[in-house]
Amino acid sequence: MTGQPYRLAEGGAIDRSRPVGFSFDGRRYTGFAGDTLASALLANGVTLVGRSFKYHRPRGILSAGTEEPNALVQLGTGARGIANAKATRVELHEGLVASSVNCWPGPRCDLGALNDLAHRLIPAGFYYKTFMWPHRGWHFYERLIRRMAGLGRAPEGADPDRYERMNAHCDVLVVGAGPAGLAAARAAARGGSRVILADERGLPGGTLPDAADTGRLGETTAELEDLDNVRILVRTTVTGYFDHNFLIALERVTDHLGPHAPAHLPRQRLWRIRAGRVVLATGALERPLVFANNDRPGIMLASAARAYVNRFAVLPGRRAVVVTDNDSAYGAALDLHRNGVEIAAVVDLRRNGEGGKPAEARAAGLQILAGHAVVDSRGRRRVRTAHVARLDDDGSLTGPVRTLSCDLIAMSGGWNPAVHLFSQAGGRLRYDEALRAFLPEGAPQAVRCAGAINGAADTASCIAQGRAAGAGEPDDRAAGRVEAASRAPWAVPARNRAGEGRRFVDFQNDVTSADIALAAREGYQSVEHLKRYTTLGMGTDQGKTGNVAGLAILAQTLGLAIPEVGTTTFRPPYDPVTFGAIAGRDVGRLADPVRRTPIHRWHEEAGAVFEDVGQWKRPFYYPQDGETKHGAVARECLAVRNAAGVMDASTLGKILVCGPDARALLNRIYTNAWDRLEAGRCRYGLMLGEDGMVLDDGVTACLAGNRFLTTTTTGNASRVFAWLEEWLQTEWPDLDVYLTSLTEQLATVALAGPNAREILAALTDDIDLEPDAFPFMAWREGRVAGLPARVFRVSYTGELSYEIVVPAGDAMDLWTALTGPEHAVTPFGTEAMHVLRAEKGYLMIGQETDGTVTPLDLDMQWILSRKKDFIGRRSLARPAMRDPLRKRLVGLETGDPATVLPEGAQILAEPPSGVPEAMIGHVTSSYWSPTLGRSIALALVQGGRDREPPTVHVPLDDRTVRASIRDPRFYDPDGVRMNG
Amino acid sequence: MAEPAPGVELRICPPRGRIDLRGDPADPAFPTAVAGVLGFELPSTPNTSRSAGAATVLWLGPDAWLIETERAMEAAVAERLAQALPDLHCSVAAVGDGSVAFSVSGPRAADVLAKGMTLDLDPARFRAGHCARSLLARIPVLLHRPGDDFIYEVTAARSYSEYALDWLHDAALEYGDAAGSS
Repeated sequence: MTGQPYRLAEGGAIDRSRPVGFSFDGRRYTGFAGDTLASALLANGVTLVGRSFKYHRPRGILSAGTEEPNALVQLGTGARGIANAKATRVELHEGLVASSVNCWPGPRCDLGALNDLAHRLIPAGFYYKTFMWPHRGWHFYERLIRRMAGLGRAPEGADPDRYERMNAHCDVLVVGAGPAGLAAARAAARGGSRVILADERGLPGGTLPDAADTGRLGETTAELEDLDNVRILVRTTVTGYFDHNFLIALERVTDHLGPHAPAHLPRQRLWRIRAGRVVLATGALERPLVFANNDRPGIMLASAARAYVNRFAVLPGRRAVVVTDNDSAYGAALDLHRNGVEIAAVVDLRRNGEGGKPAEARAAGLQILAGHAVVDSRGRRRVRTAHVARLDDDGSLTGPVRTLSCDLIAMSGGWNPAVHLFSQAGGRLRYDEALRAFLPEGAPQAVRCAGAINGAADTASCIAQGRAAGAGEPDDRAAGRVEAASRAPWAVPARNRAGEGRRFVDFQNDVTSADIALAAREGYQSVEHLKRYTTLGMGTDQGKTGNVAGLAILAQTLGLAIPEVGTTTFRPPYDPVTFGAIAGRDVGRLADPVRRTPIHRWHEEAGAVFEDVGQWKRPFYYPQDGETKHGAVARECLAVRNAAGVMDASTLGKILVCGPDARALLNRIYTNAWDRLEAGRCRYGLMLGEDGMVLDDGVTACLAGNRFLTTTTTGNASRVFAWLEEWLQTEWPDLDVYLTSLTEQLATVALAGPNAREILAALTDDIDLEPDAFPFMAWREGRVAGLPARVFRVSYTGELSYEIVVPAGDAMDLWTALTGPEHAVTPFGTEAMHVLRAEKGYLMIGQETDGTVTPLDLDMQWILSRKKDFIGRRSLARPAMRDPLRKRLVGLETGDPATVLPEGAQILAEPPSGVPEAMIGHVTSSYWSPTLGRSIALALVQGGRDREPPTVHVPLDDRTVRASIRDPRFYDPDGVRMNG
Repeated sequence: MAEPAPGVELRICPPRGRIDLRGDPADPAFPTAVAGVLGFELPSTPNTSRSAGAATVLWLGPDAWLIETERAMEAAVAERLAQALPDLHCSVAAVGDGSVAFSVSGPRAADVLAKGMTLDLDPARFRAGHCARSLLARIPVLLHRPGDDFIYEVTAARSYSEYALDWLHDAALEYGDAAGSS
């Protein structure tokens, strides 16, 4: 037992045969398997664990659970570093490395403690009052304050651990595996329900102090473990409760194993649980008492002291003062006493120290000081003395102050039912005057509460409520409630008028009762304002121990009843959730789905540089040996203009439109008319939103009388499909039309250039390619390279061009045939395609359009049918749409042909004069045109091509470029080449 | 700790024929004509499949079905359907090239899928012959449990198939992944 001077020789749920070595603040210690970091530190006599957030006061271990505000530690180092782990919940493992947070150089000697000496200078709202002047100063102060105030250190580098997410469904989710939760799970499981039982601890069984009771719960646990319809999740904190009984839970799968975790397991798993019913058996959290210097190391919750001695066989001190305003702490006093802790006194704030529990304590020979309070303490790194005085009838101090020497003060200020999840679920809370607690009220969703969350104080009532809740039977919610001492003060009065000694309410944020009173005096009277002003209830513990006392003190200061003050909102998460767990496996190469065309492998092997278009990977350009992007794009463009190129256009959206009303649908969706489109022909169409703005464009072919194949742009494929379905399903259910997406089924290869006909002729023997037989904007069916294909004579490059469409499984064969060496065809990527279409002045959806551009802005009046209605038509009739100041599409030619304007550059009417001036447009597309040997650009400019004078100015970072407005068709404006 | 026993097996299914069929089940001529071609009735219970001979039909919507056939039969079945339904408002489209099916089997198969699917995959709820369109991770898929075995078929769009397989392998890692193919 050497090295663990506070460890008992027997008892506890620890395994003395398995010592565990760990280090804290650079010193090596030994604990046992089954310890938490907190219990192992206490066993080794370490009570000073860290420093508080604001005043850097020495702090120890307050609790034995999730509510811990003080004992925050840094775990691990580097990329695996974890900030602000609660020592009370860190399960000890061999090689654990932990250190204090918020102190430098260390917790025993911390320079930040100067703040403590200067505490009168930094009251509540100190930052708001001090650092707001001068106005610009905050940016300077912030850096210093952030460094001083930071709690813990963020991990460095990418997270090396795996995190998983899991969706789960159940009939009954039971939160908490104490007596109530286990009873609920068993009752539900016996009824045949699918049950998930989640508990944040490493073992089911809850926090019962009595070993015999715990043993009985073990039988229940064993029964549940044998059932197929029960899933028990340990080390799992249910941390969010949302609508429709959807809950989030975080399972710490291997955190307790440290570096010994099996490599195939994730570190943590985020559960997304959809439950038919929920039983909240989340228990209750003990409140500290508010007295002067109640924050010293060695002052802890009575329930925590009891847990350490019973469960971990650790003495949290050798001579204890127990102070309480309720019966529950007597059990702690007796258990400490039985295990050899000298009880200096049990100080009971209630006047009447009668009843079963005090009698039991008295019989055991403990001194009880009824009607007394601990009013102060001394001891720097560990509490040395407790100062006790009598309380008179009105709750003020009277008589002399007695000093009791001790190294442990175990305190209980009553219990807060853990209503956090119930409140998140939308449940109302009712303040119960007799219990001095907020209790769950009503049922916002299919949720039941059982056990201490209802205020039940005895195990039998908890089990009865749990059983009833699990079985879905009525129960007595009020069972097992014990009245609290309604007249005990929320804050013990100060010893003298100077009010010396700060009385802490929120330990983590160093909020004192005086801060709350000050905030109220300064007008922060709403509990939500109080929280923001004083930081009461913020931080990693979210005020689990201090909140209720804080708002009670606010109520007292304002002369209001507690229900009138209310509580702050409980929001998820109940307990902090690792970002890694939220991201899950959506990281690295799985961060976003990638779509690949059927020809992708060929592009890869050809060394293509890829461009992301939505989720698609499209070949951007194909650099040859040593070629730059500029060189490759120029070569590809010229090949298409002078010989022939092929492009993989498989990403275009393809929709089969089929049914007697297919034409009617096309007529309503597109701005132009479709009545006369015959089988074998195709037509370009433009679709608008209801606001008249351009939505998408593409070519539609008539396959047969009522069967059409519509194409969309790559990026809008699913949006357009959904758009058509929405109109069909919600507005025009009378139209008989079926839509089928063929985007994935069909692959498209565009063959473009003056040699295209010749090349295609060599690959097909059943399609007549003569211009008269197969004109522009027609399509034919036949075999290309031996594959069944549809060939569409359309052009986006301005050259003679065929788009060959085959089933995706044949695409690679088609592409290989087209790119065979005998054809001298150059593969070209999206960048060359962009340049070629810009040379023709063709718009690109998403580049020339941005949701604010109408067909009128694009000078496309020709495509607006006057004979029929279409979506967006009415909007185009608004006078504003014809405002001469609207931006319209133009071509731009820079004065210096070598200058390529940046896309997005703003356009001015005059050279910039140094004063702010209106921007009259912006550049939408801009390229070097290898065909023309100069730069070209498309732009949206007020007045469009009618603008006079046609000269505009484009201010860049270092100069202003002069440009003139022109027709956007830079190349072959009459379309001779593609029609030929 | 020893390597876990393989809990999941992932395989890419051989290419198969698929026909997207749309039509009005309330018009008696339509189901009759389809049954005449397939030799059995279309499934009318939502999210179920029916199978006989070489064909399986999956219910996708009140007026939508997916017919799965052998790869070589796709064109012929589509043609026979088109001929059997000449004057009816319906849609028949061969779509076999548009997607790839994966088989996910083994005792932890449902757990692998549950990591990325919000459907209730409890074997007693998602029973033999159940199918559903949903999301797997971040892509749309068709999930089908053809028989009583713990074998699930995941059909993903062809363009997403590499991502889907990658994701499935990654999700299966902790259960031990016996990859039949990759």
